[in-house]
Amino acid sequence: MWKIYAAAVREYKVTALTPAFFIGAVIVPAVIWGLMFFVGATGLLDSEKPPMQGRIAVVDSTPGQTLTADLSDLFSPEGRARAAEAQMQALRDQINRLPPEMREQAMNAIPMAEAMIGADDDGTDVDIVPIDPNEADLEALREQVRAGDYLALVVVSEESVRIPVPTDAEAGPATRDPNNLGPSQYRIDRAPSLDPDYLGDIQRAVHRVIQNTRYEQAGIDPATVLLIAENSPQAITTLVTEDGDKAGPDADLVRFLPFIFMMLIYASVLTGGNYLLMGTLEEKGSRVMEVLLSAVSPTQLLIGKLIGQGLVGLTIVGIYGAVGIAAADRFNYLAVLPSGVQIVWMALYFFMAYFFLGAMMVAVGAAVTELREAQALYAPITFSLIIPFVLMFSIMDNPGGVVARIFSFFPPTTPVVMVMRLSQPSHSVPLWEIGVSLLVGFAGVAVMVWIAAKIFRIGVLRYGKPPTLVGLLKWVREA
Amino acid sequence: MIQPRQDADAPAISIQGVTKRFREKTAVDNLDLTVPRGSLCGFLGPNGAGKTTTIRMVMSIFPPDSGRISVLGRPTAIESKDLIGYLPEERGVYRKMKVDAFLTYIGMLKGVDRNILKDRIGEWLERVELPGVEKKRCEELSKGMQQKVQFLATIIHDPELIILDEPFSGLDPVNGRLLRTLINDLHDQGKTIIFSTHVLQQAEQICNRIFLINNGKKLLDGTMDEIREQHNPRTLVIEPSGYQHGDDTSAVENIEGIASVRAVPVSGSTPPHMEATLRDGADHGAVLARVAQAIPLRRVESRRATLEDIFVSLVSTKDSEDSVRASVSAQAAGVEGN
Repeated sequence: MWKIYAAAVREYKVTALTPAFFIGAVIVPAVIWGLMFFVGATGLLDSEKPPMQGRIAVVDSTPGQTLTADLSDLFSPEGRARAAEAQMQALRDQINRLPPEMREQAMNAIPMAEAMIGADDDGTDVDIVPIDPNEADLEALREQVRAGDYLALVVVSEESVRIPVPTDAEAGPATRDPNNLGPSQYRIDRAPSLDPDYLGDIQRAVHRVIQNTRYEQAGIDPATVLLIAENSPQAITTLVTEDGDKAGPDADLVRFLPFIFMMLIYASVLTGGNYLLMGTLEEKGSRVMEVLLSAVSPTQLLIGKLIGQGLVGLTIVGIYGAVGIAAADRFNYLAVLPSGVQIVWMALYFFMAYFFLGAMMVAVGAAVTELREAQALYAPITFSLIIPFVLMFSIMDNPGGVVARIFSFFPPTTPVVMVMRLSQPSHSVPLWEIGVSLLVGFAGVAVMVWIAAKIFRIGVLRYGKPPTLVGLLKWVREA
Repeated sequence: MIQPRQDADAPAISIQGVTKRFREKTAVDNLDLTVPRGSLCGFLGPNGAGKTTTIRMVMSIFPPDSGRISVLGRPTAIESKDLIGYLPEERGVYRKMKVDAFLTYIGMLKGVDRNILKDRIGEWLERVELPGVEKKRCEELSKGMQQKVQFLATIIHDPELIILDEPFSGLDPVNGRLLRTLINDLHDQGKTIIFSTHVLQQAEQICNRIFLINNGKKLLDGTMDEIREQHNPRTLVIEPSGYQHGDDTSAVENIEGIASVRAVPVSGSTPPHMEATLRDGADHGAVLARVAQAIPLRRVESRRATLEDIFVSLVSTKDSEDSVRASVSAQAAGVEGN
């Protein structure tokens, strides 16, 4: 026991208590998150873009050419300011109707929204140039677009704004002929220099004026439509659990909780496993292995290494977990996180995943002499990692389904699948399934450690040609 | 914790009928060996003779296919690991670890308390002429310095039995001498020491007991004196005064009791001389006296049997003597050259 302890302590010290580990596990993620927040908060990326400036030619053959007038209005400074203010007002209205405990949080978003919607003048300067449809020479106009005289050429016809009828579906495929637009179609020819985002802006504007024209034809007030669109039904969800009600944030984020927990397990287990592989290779490569084996048995050394790096993995889970909880608290999602008992289960599954994979990594490290030879023996490791990934959506969508249950009792996948199921707030895993999966999973761990110990014992003092997977199985039989 | 000495009367190592095969190659073949307590043994043999395999079996790093091994009176080395210091032939250090951390770790693995180790490491580093390297990373040390650190890792827990596999390989003459002194000191403290080497002269200089194996089989086993006694010299070195290479040797050939004479040309600091082989049954002293009477001499002596001679004579039944001698010398030269 003493020797295992000494080996474990050394593993932990040389891995986790080093500047490199601190930088890799703490500083780098912190810097990345910091950058993301910084960029998000300052809108650094958005402000880089020059504003849209130039002319848009509009060939409008609708009666009265109302679309051209509406577009001119939308792109005028007054029109843009009006639209921005309307958007902000809608946002404020929405926030005011939130439950009080969510309102305060949402208010923080207003300054950011103001910056993004850009109520103040950002230098946009767009002229809508009406072209008489009777005199329009489309080819000449296209030539001007190509030369950059226009940002875009928009062609709308009566067909574009006509209220759709069921027989429109029989009109056949769209044509590119601007003189012969199909039902609900209009045409944009754009200059190569036009930014795709601004193309989107133009399209939205055209859609808006077309739809408004249609509403008016149908006798509906477009303002009413706008109100309806902006006030979509709002669900006040509450998760009713044994621990009491949990105020329900939106379902999408909760859906991805299992994914987050899966990644947490992967990150920590893979980090620990990788250190195990590298450490074993180093001990073999520097020939320190036989010195160690004069003091400890191979199995003691193996277990000591596993425990030491397990603690490293746990440290990583701790760091990321703490950050995650802090973030959840900040954004008011604390309530959806798993409860205390579930955390205990998850800790057990973490150890299961770690010991299973770690034992494989150590065995591979002991079997080969160089890192690149390890790749050939990686198949079982990749296999057990990739299955939960492939099945991720099936398990997340249906945590109590057949697929989820089968792979809950298959040792290489048990821990990850179970953690995904446990972290799904809408699903409660039957206690017997937790019990059986723990039993099966740890039995799998025992077998894997036993196999690893055999490979380790033979491999650590062998140099030269690396064995194949079949060769490794032979070692297990022989040892 | 170091257990109290048990079975103090049992030999340090006892190997009975041990065989080890690797696929079709038999590395160790029905080997019997007994290492008495307190002895300083040389474990000899050419490369590939089975030395390292035998030592690894003694260390329980892998088990024998058949036969029995007991170490310090216990059935396996696993039970007495903390009483054994083992310097493997394949040895190294953690390159990124500091010297004191490395020695502390190895010492702790062998069950010694951290506080005891702290003082001991400093003392030992002084003794091997590496004062003040405690806080250096192992990779900053030269190869020779690393070897000393490895030696300290072997004995830092004050073992009773010390097994050194090729301890001299890679050491320069100064450090080789230092190591020899350390080995003698440890022997004087009553430790049992075994070291393997394929350089026969080294063993001759240090050991009081020798095992020699070849092809996994034991060829020699005994104290140096016993072995020399068994392999009495049958050669006289004769250097007549004024002798030049190419001079007539018939005067010596005609002396009674001498079977043949070989003229040896000058080689290094050794002047040209003759080597006379005695006839079977001829009395060594009488022939020596007759030579002294017959010719004016600068020098005559009976040649001490070196281990190399003995080894060569033992294996030469199968191979030609010259090829064996050449291979032994070549290996020795190769190692010194490293």
